[in-house]
Amino acid sequence: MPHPVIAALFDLSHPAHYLHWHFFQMSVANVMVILLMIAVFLAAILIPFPKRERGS
Amino acid sequence: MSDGERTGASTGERRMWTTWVRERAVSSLPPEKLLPDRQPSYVSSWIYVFGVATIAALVVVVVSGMILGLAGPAWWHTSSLGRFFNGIHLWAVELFFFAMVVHLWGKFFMAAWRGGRGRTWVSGAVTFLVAIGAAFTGYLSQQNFDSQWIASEGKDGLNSVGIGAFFNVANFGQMYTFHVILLPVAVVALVVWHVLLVRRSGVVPPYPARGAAAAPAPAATPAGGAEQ
Repeated sequence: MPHPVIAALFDLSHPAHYLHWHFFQMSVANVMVILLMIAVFLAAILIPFPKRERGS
Repeated sequence: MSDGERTGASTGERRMWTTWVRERAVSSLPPEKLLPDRQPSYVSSWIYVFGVATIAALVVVVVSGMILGLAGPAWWHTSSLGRFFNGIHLWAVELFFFAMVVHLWGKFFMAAWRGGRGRTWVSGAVTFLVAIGAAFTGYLSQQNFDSQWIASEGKDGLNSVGIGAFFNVANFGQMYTFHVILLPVAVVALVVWHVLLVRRSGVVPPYPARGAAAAPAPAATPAGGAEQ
C-alpha cells in the first residue's frame, strides 16, 4: 500500500472507464488529456506573454 | 562572390569535400542565424514556447531511457528507484507528445509552411510520425502484461498490411532494438534537422491583419524569453 502522500490521486487499480457513442470509443483518461491540450492551446493564444523590462 | 572567395579557400582547397561541406554549412547557416541573440517581436507569445518545451521533454526522455536501458527490466519493475525512473520516462513521453501536439496545432493554424518553410513543416510532421513509432515500440518493451496485450492486439493489424514479417511486435528483441537505438536516433536526427531549418528560415510570422499587406520586417526583441 503506497504512502497516502505519494499515492495516485485516482485509484488506477481497476479497468479504465470508457466513453462510447456510436462508433466513438475512448477512455475517459484520453478524453481528459485531449480536453487539457485544447485548454492549454487556447490559453497559450489568449494569455499575454510577460514582457521583459527595458534595461534588464 | 562565391562561397570559396568569401571564405578565402584556394582552388585546390575548393576541390576538397571538407571545404565544400564547410562552405555550404556557413553559407546556409551563418553563426548569427544559427545562434541568434534577438527574435522578432511576435515570438513573445506562449504559443511559440511549445517547440522548445517538446525538445526539453525529449531530453528527459532520452536521459531517463538511457538509465533504464543500463539497469534493465528487473530493475525498473522491482526496485523503487527503478519504478521512479520508469515513471519519469513515461511522464516525460506524455509531456513530449502533449507539447508536440500543441506545437503542431499552433503551427497548423498559423500555416507555418508559408514563406518557403515547407521542408520545416514536413520535417516536423515526419518527426511526429516517427515519434509515434518510438512510443509504440516503447509500450512493447515494458516487459509486462500490458506490453504482451499490446503486442497480441497489434500483430493482427500489422500482419493485415503485410509488414508483420519485417516488423514483428511479438519479437521483444526486435522491438527493443527499434526502441532504444533506431527510432530514438531517427527522432533526434529529425529534430536537429527541424531546428536547423527553423534557424535558417526564421520563425514563421503571424498572418497579416485582414485587409493589410504582409507586415514589414518586425522589430527584434532579445532572444531567451520565447523560442520556436
